[in-house]
Amino acid sequence: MFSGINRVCLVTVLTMFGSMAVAAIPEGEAFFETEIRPVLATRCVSCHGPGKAGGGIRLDSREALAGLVPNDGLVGTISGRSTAPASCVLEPRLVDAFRRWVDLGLPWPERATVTTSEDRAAAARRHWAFLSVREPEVPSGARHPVDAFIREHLARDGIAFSQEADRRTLLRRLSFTLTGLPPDSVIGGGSTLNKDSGTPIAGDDWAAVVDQVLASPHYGEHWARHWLDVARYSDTKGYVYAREEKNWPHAWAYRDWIVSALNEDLPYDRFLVLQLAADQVEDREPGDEAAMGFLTVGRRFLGVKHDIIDDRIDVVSRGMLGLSVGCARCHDHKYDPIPAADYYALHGVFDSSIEALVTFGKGGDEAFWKAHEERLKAYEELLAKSRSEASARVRERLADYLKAQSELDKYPADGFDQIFQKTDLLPAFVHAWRDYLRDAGERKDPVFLHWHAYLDAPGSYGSVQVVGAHPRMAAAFAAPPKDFGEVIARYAAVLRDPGEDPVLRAVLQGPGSPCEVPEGGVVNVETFFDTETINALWKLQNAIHQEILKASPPVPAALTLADRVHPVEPRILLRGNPLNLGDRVPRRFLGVLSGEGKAPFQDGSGRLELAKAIADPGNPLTARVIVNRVWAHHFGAGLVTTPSDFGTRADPPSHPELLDWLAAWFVKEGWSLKKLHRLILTSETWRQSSLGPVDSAERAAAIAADPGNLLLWRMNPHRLAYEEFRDAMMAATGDLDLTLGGKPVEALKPPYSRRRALYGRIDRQFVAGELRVFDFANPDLHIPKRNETTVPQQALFFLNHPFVLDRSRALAAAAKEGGRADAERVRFFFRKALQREPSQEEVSESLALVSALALPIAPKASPTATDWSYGLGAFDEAAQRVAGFTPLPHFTGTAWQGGPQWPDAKLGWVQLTATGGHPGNDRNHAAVRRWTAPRAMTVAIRSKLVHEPAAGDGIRGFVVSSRVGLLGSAKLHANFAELKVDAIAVEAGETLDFLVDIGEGLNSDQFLWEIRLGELAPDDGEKPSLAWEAKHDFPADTSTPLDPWEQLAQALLCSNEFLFVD
Amino acid sequence: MITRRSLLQRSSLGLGSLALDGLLGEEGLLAAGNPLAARGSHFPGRAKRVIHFFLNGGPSHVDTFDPKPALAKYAGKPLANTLTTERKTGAAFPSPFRFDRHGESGIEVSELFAKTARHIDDIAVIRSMQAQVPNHEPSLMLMNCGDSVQARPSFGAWTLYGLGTENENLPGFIAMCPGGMPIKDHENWQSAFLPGAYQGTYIDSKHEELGKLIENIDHPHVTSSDQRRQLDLLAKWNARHREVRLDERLDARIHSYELAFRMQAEASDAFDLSKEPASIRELYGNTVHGRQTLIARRLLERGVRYVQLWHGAGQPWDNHNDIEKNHRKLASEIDGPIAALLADLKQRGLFEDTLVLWGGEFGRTPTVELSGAGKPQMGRDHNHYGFSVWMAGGGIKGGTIHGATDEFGFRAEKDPVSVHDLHATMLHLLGLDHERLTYRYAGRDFRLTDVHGKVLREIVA
Repeated sequence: MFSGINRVCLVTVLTMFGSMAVAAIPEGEAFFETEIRPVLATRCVSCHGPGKAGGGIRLDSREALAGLVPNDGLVGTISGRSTAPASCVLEPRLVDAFRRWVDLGLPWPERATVTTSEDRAAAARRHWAFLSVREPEVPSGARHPVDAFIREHLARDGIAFSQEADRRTLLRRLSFTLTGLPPDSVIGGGSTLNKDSGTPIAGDDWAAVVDQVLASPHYGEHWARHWLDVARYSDTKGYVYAREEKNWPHAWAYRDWIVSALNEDLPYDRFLVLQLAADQVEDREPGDEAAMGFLTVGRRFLGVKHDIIDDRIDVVSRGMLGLSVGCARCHDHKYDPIPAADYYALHGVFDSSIEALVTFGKGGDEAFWKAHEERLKAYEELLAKSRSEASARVRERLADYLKAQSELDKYPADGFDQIFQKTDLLPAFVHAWRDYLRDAGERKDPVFLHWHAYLDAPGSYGSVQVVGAHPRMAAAFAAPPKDFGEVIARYAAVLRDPGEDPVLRAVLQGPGSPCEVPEGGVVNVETFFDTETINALWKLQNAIHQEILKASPPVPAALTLADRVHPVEPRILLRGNPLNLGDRVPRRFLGVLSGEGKAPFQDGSGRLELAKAIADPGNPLTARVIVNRVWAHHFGAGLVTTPSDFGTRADPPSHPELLDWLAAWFVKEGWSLKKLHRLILTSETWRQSSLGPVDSAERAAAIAADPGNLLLWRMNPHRLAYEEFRDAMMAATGDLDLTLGGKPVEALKPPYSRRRALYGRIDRQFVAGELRVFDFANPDLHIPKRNETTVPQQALFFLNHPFVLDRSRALAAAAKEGGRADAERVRFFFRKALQREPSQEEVSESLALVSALALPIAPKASPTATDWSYGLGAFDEAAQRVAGFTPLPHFTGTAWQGGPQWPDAKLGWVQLTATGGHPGNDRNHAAVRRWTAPRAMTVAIRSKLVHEPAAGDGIRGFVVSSRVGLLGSAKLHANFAELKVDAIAVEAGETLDFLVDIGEGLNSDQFLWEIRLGELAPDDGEKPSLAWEAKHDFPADTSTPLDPWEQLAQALLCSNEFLFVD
Repeated sequence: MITRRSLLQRSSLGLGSLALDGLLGEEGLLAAGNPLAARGSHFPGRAKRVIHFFLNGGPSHVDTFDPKPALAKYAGKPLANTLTTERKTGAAFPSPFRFDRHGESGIEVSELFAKTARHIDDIAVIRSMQAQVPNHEPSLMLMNCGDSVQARPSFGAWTLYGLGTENENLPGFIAMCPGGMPIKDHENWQSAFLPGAYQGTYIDSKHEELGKLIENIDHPHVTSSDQRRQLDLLAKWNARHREVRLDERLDARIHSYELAFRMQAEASDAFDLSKEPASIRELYGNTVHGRQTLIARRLLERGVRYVQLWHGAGQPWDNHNDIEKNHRKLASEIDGPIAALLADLKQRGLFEDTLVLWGGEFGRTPTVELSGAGKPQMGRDHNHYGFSVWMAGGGIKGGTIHGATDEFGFRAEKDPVSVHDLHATMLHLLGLDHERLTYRYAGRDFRLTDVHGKVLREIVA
């Protein structure tokens, strides 16, 4: 029934599209991988392989198979046209596949081998990434070790090296790769380095420039973002039930910790250890607990424990070790030597750790901390009370819980959410009892000997003999029971009255008792409570988190893990199904990395030991993985192309010796990331031009020999990621706010925050279109490498998004300052956007565009628009009039409301749009659309008021004349009403108000109101009749047209030169 | 099978206003490396595009497409085999709606979908669907993405990955939901580890103005002719920049501006219902759902690969209470538009290669829901053990019933169909082999159907 839980990894295959496949595998080889190899592996090599060459035939290499092809040998045999045993005959579908494979010319990938699973495991242990890091000798021929390795390989293939890029390019490249910002913001536009773009920079000077940029605090910000991709960072939890606060209270403090750790060049080994086990690192600095956000900023998975743990195992194994251990959740890894036992060994580590929220540092005021203590106390008290009541209920209903053990299929696992009353049996306790009874059976617990004896009794109970039972049980079972129901009843009777017997009491109370709610907060143990209790607990828990989120000055918090008092002894969950328990495994590190005699973890959950094993200098993966990540960010591609998969299916490194040399050097130099950057960035390899060798023959040869530039005969250009180009657009006008750290800001709505994009709030549930379309890292998943797509939606963003328009206007406005001449304005644009002077040609092209573009025409407002105003007020029941009309202060372009944020802190939800709006939070803040008569006349009113949501209790609508009072009203809930007046006379300046307020409470009160007013034909027939329509008279989007200079500025921001760094 | 060419030929006969000429592959815009470029299927597909009516909240199968007379017989009596669901339920609760036989196939459909039922001979009803848990969130994920819990790409995203789009001037996968989003929001049409270009584009179909329908499509700040001049200069600069450089990504981006420029016009056209004749607008009805369905047809005929039409924000079909009133109202909102769409697709020759899917994330219990105090609510609880969906069009054998629930409609009994089976079948109809449509992520080759899924040959024509 729970087939979805069996997330079995896929064995076979490849994608059908060469271009989409991870490693562009040729079609023939893909065919081999999908159709042929699995058959050879499962049907052939057990008899015809290295272990046993049945009939002297081996089928584990291309040569061996090729020898069988002639004279219909191979196909003939498998289709049954030979004397071979029946087991050699395959189904027609497979025979067809082999026939096709033969026709394709026996494609066989170079690295392919077909082996049995034991061979595979043994071979996997010899996989390069699992072998210790060597320290290869640096080849001669270049001063810089990086260049030595790169040049040696190029020379071997006869490929020329490119010359050094020019100074402007290098500075732009350096600034972006280290800080994600254009050089003006980091090095300073006035720096002499920015001059003389033609002259190269001497080596020593260059090293000094690298150091200068590395010292910028914006380095930590930019590289933090790379790490946050790894850490699947989000400021929110993803989908949660309405009862739970959706924002993480601790996320931003984790982000800030990463920034400062990188800026301080915290040794990478310690960087990792703190993120896994800061709670247990004794010499930690204050605030280091925040580092554990690495484990705890993941999705909430609706509280399902096994999924939360799976997410943590994944982020640790792929993020830190470049290994996908997650595959082993359901069975042994198909390719890498990761058995399910290893997965559950780590599962036990995380299952033995429970979340704890810690606040630290300054922030909040006295009132906050006082109330905070009270909130904590209220929550703790309710939790304690709920715990004891819950376990008391289990003890009261022992017989029922024991009876439930015979119908376990009625009690589904977590993730099958049911609504429970206090009187219901809770599946969590049923399962706790199941586990307890099973363990009791395994350890021959004297209390439960009879239970298991009768459970397992093959026939009549008369023959059951139990020796060594607990005396109370022996007494209770002096006479054999007649059926298992009676066994349950006797157990329930004895346990109902345990007396002072400590053994019996331990079954009912205290740690390890299946009647107790386990350790942890509501998030860990909610399944042990009825629905009403869960909701009450969440309410208090949320209050704590919400007040921290709101506190000013901001309160940094850390969501840490703390070890359980009694660590969990993990069991393998067969096929990942928590209802399907397998063998016990000790908590310990991965076998492939710790050798055969791996010792179990000794200390608590073992989390600190895990962290140390990962950060061990002898770990073959950790240093290689981070060195490769750093390399990949500097060069656009890693030495290993799959930065989070160093397993056996990954492509081998392009430069294995260089990778090892870098990894060894990195560890020897104290795991210093800044030293590593400096080493790479001072190499000639990194400073090469991206244009390739100047000599066209050399360039053509290089392109022919290595079109993908895997050997680095030139620099790979870099396309700015979303964060980089947003910051660059802000920086072009000097508007970028370079403040470090703090709570997330709203980056995507006007008025646009001037903070760096890093500080934009990331809501994993609503990743904004802007981010998605630019391949932002999906915060639900560990992202080793962002996709890089080019789609028209990106171009639409550059052409039409208000942010780009805002930046174009700002750039044009800055250029206008100081009365620059036209050509000088063009030069200003180029300097600010591209960090260079325009050519004469570019200047004249720009000026030509400016003069060709028409001057913008202001949008035409409807002539009747001025007769409306938009405000708030109240319906005065006594006077039957609108009272206290006040215009709404803020217009967004599509709505009038209290301020730029909606709801507004002071005026709340009140809002009016062209077609409707939303009333304010109480009846004194009704939304009022006011029409004022321009002259005396008689009008008819036609209107339709609609309230759509089923939630809440609806709204009230009123049509009110300033002179005669109420003309019509309606109370609506998920319904509509036509409010109309056939004729009403008005004097000039009199008003008609269309007012909406809330029903009894504020909830889902948005409304639509179509309103039309028509002047009834005047008696004199001279003046033309007027008509009003609320929707058309509403102010149009005020997006004022761009003037020609602004359009020119936009063109520059849209250019490839702006978006790509050479 | 209708080819694109024949589609265009039909359009030139005045059936609709396809503005596709010159905007497809011929222009090279479906260039290699473009993730949305149209691609060949594994084998010739029967359907080219999908429209999915998602009745979010969970429509009751025993009140729509799975008649259960036994419920009337046992009305008010407790059923022996009551299964565990999210809440407690009580006695057998007969459908308050009348069922009638329709068409030559004589399949029984309730009065709620009487208009849709006129097309029953073109519909295959699967009466034996099963999900995994009785909760909305995981079941929505399962139905849309093939996995209850983990972040996995949605069906639409997989389809775009597999087939690309036939019109790059429009998003290839569009999810419309009037008045807000269903629960789980964007997760329902996520691309997860697939490139972001495959994610569904959400449109709040409550709106009628284009600018609110598609992000960044409106350009009130500049006239088209000025924008053209601006783009001409940009193209010149970009071409000059490109000359000396060795990077094909530059070409793709140059091209994307031209596409975007045309997309502005094309999208305006697709969403402009005033271009439809009055008779067609009347056929669908001038309601939110009528307009949404008509827009969907305009998108499909323009080459959009997958359109998902949600009933409304939240979970409207989740009728724990008073199912008679609530289901009647909801069905009345979509029965007409669905029937109109089926008729309209047929008259345009689009029916045979458009796959229509109707259903929710699960069904509802045949027993009446009880309040905490045990009082019947005259509604039904969630039921994942058995429910109905139906498909029509592209390659579907009409007038078919597949599978059956038990006597009362609690559990799929005959030929149970998993959501993976449904997905495998839909991919099959699109010409994609669910076992070969894979994507490498985290060291594994992922499939929409994971290791499950079986094509339901019985309902394939």
